[in-house]
Amino acid sequence: MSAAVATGLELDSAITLSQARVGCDMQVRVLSGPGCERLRRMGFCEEIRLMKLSGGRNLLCRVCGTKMAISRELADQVWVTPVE
Amino acid sequence: MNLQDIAVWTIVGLTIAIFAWRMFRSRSTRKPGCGGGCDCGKKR
Amino acid sequence: MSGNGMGEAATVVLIGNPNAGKSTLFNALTGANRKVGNYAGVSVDAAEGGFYTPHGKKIRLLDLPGCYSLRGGSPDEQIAAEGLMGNLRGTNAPDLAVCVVDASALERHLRLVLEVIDLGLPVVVVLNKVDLAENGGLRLDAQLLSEELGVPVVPMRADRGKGLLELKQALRFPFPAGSRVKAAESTAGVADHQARILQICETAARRPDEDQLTLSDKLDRVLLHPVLGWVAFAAVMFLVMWAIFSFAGIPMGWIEALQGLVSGWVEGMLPNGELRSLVVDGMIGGVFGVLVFLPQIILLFLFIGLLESSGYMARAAYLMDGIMSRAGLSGKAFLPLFSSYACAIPGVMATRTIDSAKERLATIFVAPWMSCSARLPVYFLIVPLLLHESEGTWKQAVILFCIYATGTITALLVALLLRMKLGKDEGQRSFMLELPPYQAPQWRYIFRHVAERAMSFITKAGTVILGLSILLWALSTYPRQAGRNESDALAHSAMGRMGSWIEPVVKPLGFDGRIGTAVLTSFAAREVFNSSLAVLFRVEEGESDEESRSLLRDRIAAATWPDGRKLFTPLTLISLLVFYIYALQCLPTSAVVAREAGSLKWAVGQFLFMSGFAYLASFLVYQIGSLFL
Repeated sequence: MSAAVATGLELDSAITLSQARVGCDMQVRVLSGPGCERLRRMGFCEEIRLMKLSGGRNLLCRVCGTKMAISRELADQVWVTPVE
Repeated sequence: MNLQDIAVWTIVGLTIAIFAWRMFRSRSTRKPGCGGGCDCGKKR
Repeated sequence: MSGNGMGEAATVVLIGNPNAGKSTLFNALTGANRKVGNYAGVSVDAAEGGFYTPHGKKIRLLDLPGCYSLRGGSPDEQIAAEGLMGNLRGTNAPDLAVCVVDASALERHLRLVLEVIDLGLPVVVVLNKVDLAENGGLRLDAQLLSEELGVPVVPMRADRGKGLLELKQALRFPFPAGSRVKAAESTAGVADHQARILQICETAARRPDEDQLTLSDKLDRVLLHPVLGWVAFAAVMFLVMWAIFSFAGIPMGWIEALQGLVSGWVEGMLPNGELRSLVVDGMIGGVFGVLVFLPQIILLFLFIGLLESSGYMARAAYLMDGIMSRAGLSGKAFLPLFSSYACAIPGVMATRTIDSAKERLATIFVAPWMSCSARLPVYFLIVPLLLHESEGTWKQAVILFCIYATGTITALLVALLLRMKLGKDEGQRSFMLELPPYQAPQWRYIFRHVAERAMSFITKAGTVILGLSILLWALSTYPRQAGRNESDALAHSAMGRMGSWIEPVVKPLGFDGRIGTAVLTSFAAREVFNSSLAVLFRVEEGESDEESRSLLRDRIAAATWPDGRKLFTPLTLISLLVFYIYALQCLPTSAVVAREAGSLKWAVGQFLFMSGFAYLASFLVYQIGSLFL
């Protein structure tokens, strides 16, 4: 299977951070939306690994050792895939 | 007017003068600061 | 930039993410006492200080507000970016930038470092909180990091002073040149930086066991829980108020005893007459009427310092975001509003961390309704009159809690109305908050800070309040009419006439002319309310010394209207409390509001609105209450 197809399949299975399950290790794949510049500046970048700690109106996640709270609207703009 | 009255009026007069001077001074150097109670006027 | 001779000072800026420890480092280097706290928004403007390196070079140090990126939007981030470019008023372009990074969050802090390095400025990286990083499972290699970045890296624990000497030595002159390792050109985009950061961390900062639960996590299980978190929050707030009431009792007794001693000594020295009255009733009575509340002030600031320093405040902001958004604000507005409980001025300035201009304006507008510490002397005079200690300090704490809650809830309602009027923000809700790990309180800074506030309070009492008390005494004594008793003489004096003029205006609120006059004078400073009452409710002459030295509280409790009815009924007391919750009586606050909101119109509008609201609220409370009580 070519790398491009593999990547494409992976991206297809990406979900938003809001939809992700709590307690799973995730990797950020894509950021898309008006808030992504801000997200990137705060450390939510492509390729970074994070863990979702809780959901709700404001999500809690641990990003590279730091605990962060972000709003649901922003979390909708972060696409992640689970890490095995 | 006895000594006590003179002392009282000196104190009151001085107080008025100090307040007037402070009000006049703060007009020319407009800086926030109420003289205490908060550290707003300090180096921040 | 190495053109500076040994004689001139070099300008160095401190830049870094919020909470990285810049202000702690600034204090450690310059010996200053800049405020530190474990949440973003503590430093919102630049501070200057100086120190000497071991080589004798003078360094001018500029502590910039924390920012996540040089391209940020909020006002404090803009200040930081401008400080780096040398565009801040009164500063030169910096000769070197010290990037302070929190080692325990290295991956996230490196972004700013790379942006600063790309500017071509000489950079020294301070790797702060290395202990936290190690405890958090991060394996750091400062040497490798330095090679990867191409700049000197100094590991440090700024709160303990470890690494300071190494930093000063790294500032050896001539300054190290800008980075030897060219990042992918200075037009490097975010993605390029990101790739570099990952690569650097792979080499120099690894996290072998990322998934361990730290102590902070375990605490957060409760404190951030949707239900338990709220319970904990309410419990913490209530506990603080209860503690302030309970623990302050004994020191208050000492201060009152001191007042008795001083008054007695003066009365022994001076013969009966004008001067004695001025000193004992005017000066001593007026000043001690305020000073007696020093213990409460100290306790309040101690608790605020503990909460800020521990990292709990960020959790509180997270919890409050839900409620605040119903008021059209966000959790980010919670921290400035919470600061306003101490004093509205730093609270209003802290709104610089809020990105949304409309949210910022709304927050600034309602901040004075977070009952500030200047109201405490008034509250602590009135609340025990409503409910004596013997009925339980916890009940008094409940009343105080209700006072704060009233101000806060009204503030949120008005903020909502204001937001509706100002209109929606462009762009959507983007609440984002870092929750730093819990830290043991930094006792040294807390105590220094509390001592400073206590000194400010005492100084204000000894200067402004003293002066106003003297004037009040004069106004309530002259013009004199010989041969009359005290209460007639008071009615005849300037203040008494003012009182009779103001009485029809305040009578619907349940106040008489004397209370009305005291309220009017408190527009100069809220605490003066107590001093005015002390002067206005002097005891009759001819009574024994013990009686004349009785507490202000007792004298007020015994006060009556001309027809003999009790003056300070519970309803009048509540009406008075309501007035003080809502009235804006602080000219310095209005000045800062005008500056931060960018328009005098806002400050004037705020003053008029709040004064009118206070009058109306007091009126309604008294009138409607009279129907039932």
